[in-house]
Amino acid sequence: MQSIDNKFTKSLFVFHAACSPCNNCDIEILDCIAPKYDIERLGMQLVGSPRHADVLLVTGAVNKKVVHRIKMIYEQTAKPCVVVAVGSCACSEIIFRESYNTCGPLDKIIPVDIYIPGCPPRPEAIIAGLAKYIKSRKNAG
Amino acid sequence: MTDKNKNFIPIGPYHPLQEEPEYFRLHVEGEIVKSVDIELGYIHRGTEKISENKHFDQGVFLVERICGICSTSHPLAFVNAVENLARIEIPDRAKLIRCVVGEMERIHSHLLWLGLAGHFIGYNTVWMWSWKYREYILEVFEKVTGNRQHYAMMKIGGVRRDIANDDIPWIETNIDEIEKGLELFLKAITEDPVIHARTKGVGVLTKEDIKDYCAVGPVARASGIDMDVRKDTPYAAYGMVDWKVCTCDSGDIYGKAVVRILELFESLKIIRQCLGHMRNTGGPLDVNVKEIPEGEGIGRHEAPRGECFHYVRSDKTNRPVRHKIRAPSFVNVATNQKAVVGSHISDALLVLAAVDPCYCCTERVIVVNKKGKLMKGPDLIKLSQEKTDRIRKKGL
Amino acid sequence: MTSKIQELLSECSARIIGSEEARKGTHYIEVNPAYICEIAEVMHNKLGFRFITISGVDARKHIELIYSFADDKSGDVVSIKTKLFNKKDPAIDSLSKLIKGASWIEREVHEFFGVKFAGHQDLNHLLLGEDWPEGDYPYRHEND
Repeated sequence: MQSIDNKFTKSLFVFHAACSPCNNCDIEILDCIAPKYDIERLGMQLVGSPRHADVLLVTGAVNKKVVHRIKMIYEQTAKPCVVVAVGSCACSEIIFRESYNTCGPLDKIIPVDIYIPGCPPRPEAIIAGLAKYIKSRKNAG
Repeated sequence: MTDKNKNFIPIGPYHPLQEEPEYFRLHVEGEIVKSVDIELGYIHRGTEKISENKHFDQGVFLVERICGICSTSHPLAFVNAVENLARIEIPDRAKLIRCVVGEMERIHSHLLWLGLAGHFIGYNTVWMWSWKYREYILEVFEKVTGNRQHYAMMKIGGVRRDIANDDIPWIETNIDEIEKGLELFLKAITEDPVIHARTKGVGVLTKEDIKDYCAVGPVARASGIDMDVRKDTPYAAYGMVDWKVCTCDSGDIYGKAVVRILELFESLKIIRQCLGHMRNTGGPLDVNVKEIPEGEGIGRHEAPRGECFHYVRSDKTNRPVRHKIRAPSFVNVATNQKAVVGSHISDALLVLAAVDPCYCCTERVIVVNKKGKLMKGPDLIKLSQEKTDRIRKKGL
Repeated sequence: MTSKIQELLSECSARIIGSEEARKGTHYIEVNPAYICEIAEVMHNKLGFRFITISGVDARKHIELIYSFADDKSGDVVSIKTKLFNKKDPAIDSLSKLIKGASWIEREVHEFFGVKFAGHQDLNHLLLGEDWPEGDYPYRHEND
């Protein structure tokens, strides 16, 4: 395990999967790569395919139409893969818990490693969440 | 055409545009798009049904979470509807603050669209620059509302927070910064021959198409239809300030981009005037709303993407019996069934983006043809960007 | 009341059950469901109203459909109300041939309230998944 843990301490390839979000978390994730926050300077990069990803950022309260697809995306990622629930909807579904069309928070569907709450979490919070994870891996390794 | 050349291109499904993400299936013959199937529902969360179990104040919180980009449009339309139902007249200062927040949201939304449109045609610089200028408006939001998105400023009978008069000069300097950026963008779009070549005459919608599909907002205005809820039924403070509706007759992507940029200048004008009025307008921020009577109300707001429509029916309890929401993109996205037909694959992404959806599909676009050739989202963007390169080289 | 609305009221007076101007610029007109296409044609083609949407309401005893139209010149919103009393199998004529934009709106009402739009080409699911149970309409109050 030690060697795998070490892999996650350098440049992370991030895939962003939107599962019925309201868009805000997604904008803030894109804001992370825009000039002001620029996570690419930390070696993180958004990639176009889940097969290239080390990290899966999932936003939104997963609905019944999306639930199979997010499972598929998770299966396609190369393991080990870090799953991050970005935003309160992915963490706990907040107000959409009562809806007839949602399927429970993300951790009921796929295993989640990091929770970044907030509605929406600020770009700083997203970066801090990932940085904390990297730090914990470093300490573990 | 033989069957071998008949392919379809799935685009999507994830597409976090309000509650309407889309899955497009383009039927193509060679390079030309013949028809398109659109599938929705990937972000359907049953907001209207949840709203029936929330009291009116909670409803504002809920409708804010329909869309992150229009996160003040839905609350504004909803409070308009409830105020229409209960015949509430709000104080002047609240009207001005609603206007300022509404227009700032338009600026952030249009800049977001502009950046992504730039990304699609291969001008990543446009993307980075417009998102850089967008940060100025987000800073203002953070200062006056406490959050970068989901501002929670609207409330039935007024607004929740004041904009301090001491903050007004600082807001004005930020707005001046944005104006500098906008002049740059306007020049870049109207004077760049490559952008002209990529956007002029592409994805044209005529006046009749707009009428057929009941399209609204910048999509309709770019086809020469002079409609804007802010002008037609002035609510909030839109009747107190001087501004004009921007239209363009071409109906193509270029027209849509120009209309949006010109609208940004108008938004800046509105914000400046509102801030000026606010210096001299004191008074309360809200009226006391005791109970919502029985009846029905209709509220409309010109969101960045067009008319946002809310219908509320109350039976004198503290919760609506029915709350119907019609977001502008619901009708605008349907125009893609017409606009994209006949265009090249490399233009299709741009046409689909011209109604102002979001970027997310770009990461999930996959092209399949019957021979099993697989193209991913970035490839489709690359196709589009290569076309820009070709035009650029030809021009030089 | 603007001249357009007066024209509408006089043109379709035989079809109209009742009308009121609830607020300034907000009109409600009640018609029999059988005449909805006729009225929509007058409003959309002749008077130049823009079709906004259909709001379905489950009023317990019947299903109410509210067709909202806007006049962008004067800013008026005219809502045509129709009541469908057969809750088991509610049906009404489709506007989709007249107004292309009505097609999706009718599909939405169909899947949430189970209203059948006669003459609609394709009443498949729009927002709910394909595996959504048949006959389960989430916005009906029987589900509460």
